[in-house]
Amino acid sequence: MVKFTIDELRKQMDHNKNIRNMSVIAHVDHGKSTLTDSLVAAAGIIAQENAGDARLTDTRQDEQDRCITIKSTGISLFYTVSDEDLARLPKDVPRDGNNYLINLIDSPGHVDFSSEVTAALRITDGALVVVDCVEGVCVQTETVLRQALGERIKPVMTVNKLDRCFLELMLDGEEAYQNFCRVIENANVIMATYTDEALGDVQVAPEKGTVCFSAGLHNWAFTLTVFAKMYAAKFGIDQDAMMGKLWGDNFFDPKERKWTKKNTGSKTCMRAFVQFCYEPIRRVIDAAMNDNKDKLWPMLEKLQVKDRLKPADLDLMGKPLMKRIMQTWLPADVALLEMIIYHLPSPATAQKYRADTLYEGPLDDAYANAIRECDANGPLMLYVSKMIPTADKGRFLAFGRVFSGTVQTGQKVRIMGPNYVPGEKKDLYIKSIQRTVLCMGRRQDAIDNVPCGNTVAMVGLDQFIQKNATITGEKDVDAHTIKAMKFSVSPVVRVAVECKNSQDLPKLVEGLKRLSKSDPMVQCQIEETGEHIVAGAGELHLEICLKDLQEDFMGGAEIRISDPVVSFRETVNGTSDHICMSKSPNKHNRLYFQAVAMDEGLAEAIDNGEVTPRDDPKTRGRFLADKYGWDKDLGAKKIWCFGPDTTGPNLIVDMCKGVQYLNEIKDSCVAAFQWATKEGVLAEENMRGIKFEIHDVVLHTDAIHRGGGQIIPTCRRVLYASALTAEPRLLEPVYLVEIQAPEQALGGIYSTVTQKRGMVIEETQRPGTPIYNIKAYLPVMESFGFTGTLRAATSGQAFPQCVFDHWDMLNSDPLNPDSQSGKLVKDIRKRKGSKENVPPLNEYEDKL
Amino acid sequence: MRDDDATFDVAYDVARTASWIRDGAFSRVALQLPDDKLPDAARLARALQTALARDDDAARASREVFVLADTTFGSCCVDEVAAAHRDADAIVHFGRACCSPTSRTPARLVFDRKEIDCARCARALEAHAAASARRGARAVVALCDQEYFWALDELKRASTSSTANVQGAEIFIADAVEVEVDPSRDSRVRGRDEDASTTRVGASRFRPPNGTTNEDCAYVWIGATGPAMTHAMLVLGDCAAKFGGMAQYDPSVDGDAVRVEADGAGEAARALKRRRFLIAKAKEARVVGIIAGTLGVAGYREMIENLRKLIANSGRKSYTVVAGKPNPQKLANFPEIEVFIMVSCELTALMDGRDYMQPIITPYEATIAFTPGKMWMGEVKLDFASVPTFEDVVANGDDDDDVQPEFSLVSGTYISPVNASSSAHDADDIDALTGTELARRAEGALSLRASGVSDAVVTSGAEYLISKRTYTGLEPGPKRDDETGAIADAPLEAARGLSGRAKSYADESPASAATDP
Repeated sequence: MVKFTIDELRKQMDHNKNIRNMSVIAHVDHGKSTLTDSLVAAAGIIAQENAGDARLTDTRQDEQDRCITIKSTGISLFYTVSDEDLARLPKDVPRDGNNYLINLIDSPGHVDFSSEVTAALRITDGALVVVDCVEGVCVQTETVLRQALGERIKPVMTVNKLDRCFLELMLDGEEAYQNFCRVIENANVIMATYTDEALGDVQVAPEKGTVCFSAGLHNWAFTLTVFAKMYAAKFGIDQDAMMGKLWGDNFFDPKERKWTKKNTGSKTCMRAFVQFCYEPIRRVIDAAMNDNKDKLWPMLEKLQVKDRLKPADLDLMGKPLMKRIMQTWLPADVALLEMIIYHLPSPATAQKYRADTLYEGPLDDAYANAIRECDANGPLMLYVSKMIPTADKGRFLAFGRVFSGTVQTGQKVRIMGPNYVPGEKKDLYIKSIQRTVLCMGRRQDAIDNVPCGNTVAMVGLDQFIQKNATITGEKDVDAHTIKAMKFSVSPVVRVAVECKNSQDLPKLVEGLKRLSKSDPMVQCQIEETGEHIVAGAGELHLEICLKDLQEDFMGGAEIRISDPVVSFRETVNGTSDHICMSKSPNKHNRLYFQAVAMDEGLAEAIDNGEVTPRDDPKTRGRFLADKYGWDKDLGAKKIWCFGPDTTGPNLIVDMCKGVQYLNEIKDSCVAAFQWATKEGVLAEENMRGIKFEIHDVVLHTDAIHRGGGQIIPTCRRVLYASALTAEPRLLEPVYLVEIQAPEQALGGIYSTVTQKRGMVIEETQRPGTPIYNIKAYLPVMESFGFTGTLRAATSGQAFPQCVFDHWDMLNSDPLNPDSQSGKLVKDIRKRKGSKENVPPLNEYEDKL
Repeated sequence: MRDDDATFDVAYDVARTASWIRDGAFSRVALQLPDDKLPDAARLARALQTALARDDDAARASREVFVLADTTFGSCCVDEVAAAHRDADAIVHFGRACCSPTSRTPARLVFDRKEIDCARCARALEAHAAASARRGARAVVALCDQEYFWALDELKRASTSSTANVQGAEIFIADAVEVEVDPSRDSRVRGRDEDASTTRVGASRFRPPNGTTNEDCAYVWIGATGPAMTHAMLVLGDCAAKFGGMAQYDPSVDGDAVRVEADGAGEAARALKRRRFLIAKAKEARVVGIIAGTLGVAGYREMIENLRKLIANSGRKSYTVVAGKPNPQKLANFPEIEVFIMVSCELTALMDGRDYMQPIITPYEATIAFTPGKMWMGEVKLDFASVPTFEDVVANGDDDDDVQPEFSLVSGTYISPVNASSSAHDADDIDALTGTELARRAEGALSLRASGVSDAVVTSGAEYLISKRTYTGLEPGPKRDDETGAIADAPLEAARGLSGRAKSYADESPASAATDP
């Protein structure tokens, strides 16, 4: 049944002009996996009849059960395309024979699993963006598009679920056209926002052939070329000209046989797209659905479809008949393949412009050049973007993409982890690859070697790679790493896990280790309190992770899972009402500090890497001066450190002049600052958005009396004192929630959101549909069970997508034990086992 | 007044202490009192001398009793060092004691006394024993706080008489340790355990009744909530957990019933979890500090030696610090050290202030943290005897020389194994053999710092100073001229300065000085 052998596949891998690496991305439930099936079926891996139902790329049982993709899954497909079909290949697309290899990655659509999408995008060059024609562009569509463009991934689009237009909504031609138009427009707006010059024009348009119309479930699809080809002959115009006429404001009146740019108002005058594409399909579908075979057969004969149908198909009735006919007439794989091959770049093309964003090292060294040239004989550069658990759960496959060179079974390679620093030995391992294999959905096939431009999975490296790594040849000692991936979601929901039976502890630790490997995003850590914490992007993500942990990675040992815990941040809302002073234990040193709330937006800028400790001080100084009105010298020279973890969104700034010995205590202050920002004064949570200013320092002249022992505890105390006097506040994480629901569900949505302390920020009706799109902010703390409550309140019509958006300040005073923040602080302190009340100021501040 | 003297004598156990001194024929006896008892010190010394005065004259002439004013380490430890300054040949320790064996000087421990109603306590225990038996406990072990040791015999009598006719678990009251410690006789010195089946918890010791193991017993703490109880809870942690943790009977508060949920049970559980974090953190440390927190507890030297070997073997670097009564200020002076190991008596060993920059762990925890692949299962072992020796650890460790990254729970990511840089991994590095390793690495670190990367791994204190500290003193070395290589900032030849008075120096013309009023 499979139409190709591994040998053929392997041979094809060398022709990198005829390879397409692509991912399928979309909002949840827009039909990615279903559409992928069409392509898989066309390659003969599953039967045409099953396409759309099998969801071959949903390899896990829970994926099949829940009808949701959780992990991204790769599959390599091999096609032979006829010359005729390649005839119109754009001239600038190089071609090398008729065989094509498509390495496809199907990715999950739920926001909680966005990290999987990120991992998929990194190793592909093109993306098929699937958009539901009814729901339109949704929050996750936007997120993944933004990510794709950030990675310099070229998108093509398919407007999916066309069958709903015909069967559910019964849209007439013009309505449908307007609808499609809007969907495409919306997508283009997003693409324009995040466009990258190096990538060129990424706007999609049906007349260019970069938009496809599909019905994944019924396994049919078309691009305008299909129809253009049909009508070009009839009208005797060039196929490309016909394409242009089939979209946009082009009207045709069959009575007068005249093209116009406007609707003439004549009854027979119709938009060309409606006239020539939409209406014929609608008529065929109507006839098939109503079993109106008298009308159907002549139509099919005219379309030359009837003779392609099998005799058995002719006896089908209703929906199956319709599916069969449409599949035969407008096979999804032909349209999609055409779009993929014509408009998505080959690795050879894509790596030319992607090399700059991929490689950490100098862009003119041998490795950068090899990536740019996609040189199979160059040095090996391979990026592992995710780890896939094997069937026996114990081991993992390292799944990635060869960017240059060729990876061999048995080859000795250098594995460079995310913390590798060129020239150092940290995070560097030299190991042999046991086996290279190809991912074929559920199955893996062994292969001797894989040249650049392809995706590959490797056996035997799992002990050395946690989540991702760069792999080079043994001798390539001067290679730099490939840039780490940037995720669009962050692990904000945390639970503590412990084993019911203390004897299972080793299993738990081993399980956490494996869990953290199996998912690009999940974090497994031990807290200061000694609890084992699993942190994920959202409730669903965490649920899946914990299930995997218990069933797959711990061999079913029982675990106890705490209620979800939200981590807060501590900040200040003003400036310390006086300059705080603390004395060292020996009373010989005095530190004078003040805490100031950071300028609006600066904390985010630090988060996003716009301001980092590694910046050139001058550039940073200028940036801070221009954007936040800082004194230039202050930003350039006087920032001592970022914290916590030397990169966090808090600063310690030296405001004093001419203080003796000040630079001697800098290290001690920095150590204290790191410590204090990591464990804030209110609830031992991280601090955020606080600028600590050093106003004066009085030090003992004898170095022995101003050592770290004296300064570090003192500096920590004065930092706490200044935070306490500057209107301390708690920050809580807030989700951006997007909900789509029909009008009658709005009431339920509003009441649920309000009841959960949320705030609706946007409500728009999707033109032409009764569906509303609601955006709201929802505190993460209140989000547990939100989906359930919302569904109950709207009788199951509303489905929310939550993604972490920002930190929001709780306005109540946490020092007042009766306020909301005060209670939160008390709870957190209790959980952490510290004294229940925030220590009074005089514990940290001294009098002169 | 006589009455008062009598209570005083009882409280400080003067009579028996005097006879111990007499029997041991000690001539110079040091009295060690906790700070809050120091006001009684003079009277106590007098009372002892009076008691000893009944002795024959010859001995009395040479006998001296004196008071130690301050202790070097915790007040619970017998301070041999301070006593040795005065050449004492015996020490009497008053107040709460950690009961660690001494290494040189014989000592006698005199515990505080608190009132206890033995009959009432026995009844409470009996009720608890019946309840525990229903939950499957085969025996109830009652551990007394030191303050009630004087009443142990009476308590035992009371409980045996009351349990004789009651169905329930057997009540077993733990013994007190020997109050007279003699290093020349004490069996616990130098690793020889008294008896494998005896469990020692703080100042108590017990052997589970015939046919039962520690796990079959329920435990009751008789005494107030405090460090001693927490200590007992942690040490017995796992055994006690089976029957809902340790119960508590505080004679000064509780009337007739044992509290099933002891005060501070949550505290102990939390402390235990916290240890897990500290150990996880210690696993990643490369520079380790050993705090010699005692110079008295028997076996401390061997322990420190043992730890040094263990640390070196695991590819880490160790530094030894002597610090009596460590506090955050003292330990913060060593920012290059990533974890401290506290070698001290049992009562002060579990230090976990959130105020300390670095985690402080016990020697037993250190053996776990520094043995690759070993996992801490929640047991707390504080006496030196239960710490496996270096030889044991090495013999049991699996000799896997394959360098693999380790999963760090603290950061949730993989880290290079600690021994990576020191072991076979570097075999191709000739530098490592020629001893220029440090210089080479320092150079690397400096160039890294110049490029803004400061997260280089530090494997020794010296490396820390050169790579992490931004302030390195004035000029680390002489500045050399780029071309000639000559020392550029060589000291200048001495030149004659101005002389005279500041108002007008000797060589200044009086006129120019005059213009300035």
